[in-house]
Amino acid sequence: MKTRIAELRKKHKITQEELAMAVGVTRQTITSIEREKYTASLVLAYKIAKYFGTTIEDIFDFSEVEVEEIKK
Amino acid sequence: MMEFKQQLKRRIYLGGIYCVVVALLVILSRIFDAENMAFAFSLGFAIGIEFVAFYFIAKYRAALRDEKKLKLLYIEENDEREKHISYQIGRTGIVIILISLSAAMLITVHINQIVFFTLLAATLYTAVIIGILKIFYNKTI
Repeated sequence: MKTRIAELRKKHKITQEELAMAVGVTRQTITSIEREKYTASLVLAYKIAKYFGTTIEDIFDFSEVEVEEIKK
Repeated sequence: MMEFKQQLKRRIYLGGIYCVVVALLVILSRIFDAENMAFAFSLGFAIGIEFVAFYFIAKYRAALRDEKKLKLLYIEENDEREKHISYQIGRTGIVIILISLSAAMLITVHINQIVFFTLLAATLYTAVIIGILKIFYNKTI
């Protein structure tokens, strides 16, 4: 899944290590998420979004996630 | 984090008990001159594990003295990607083990019956454990 984590880190001048420590994961996890090799859990996505003061949708790209909407 | 600290203290305590028990076994083996191969192997194995226990006791004690090390250890043990990797290893590993055991069984049935029945028992045991765990996790998760 595409994310804006690397972009936001650069904008706020934060290293992967610092972000990892702040959200309670290893640096390798942040690397994997940035490289789109691993998809963060809902809780981790929430922590990352909260850390950057934004929403999950703003950081994670859900455009490729297919979902059927309720018929009105 | 307090809960994690308590958990580490429990691990240190249990590791300590293990080390004392193994040390006593070493002393007793010297006193009673237990020299048979099976006992010597078991004791050697236990001593090997004891060295691992020493390493972890030292690591946990260091973490309990330093908040930064404690947090790093907590992250190391609770990292979600690591958990995901462990889950994948378990899932893939069990399939590989079952296939390997089955293949070995099919080969040994032509060579040695004792080995064949041992492998058959191991395969059935593995399959039963998988079944039990599947039922358990289907009910609990």
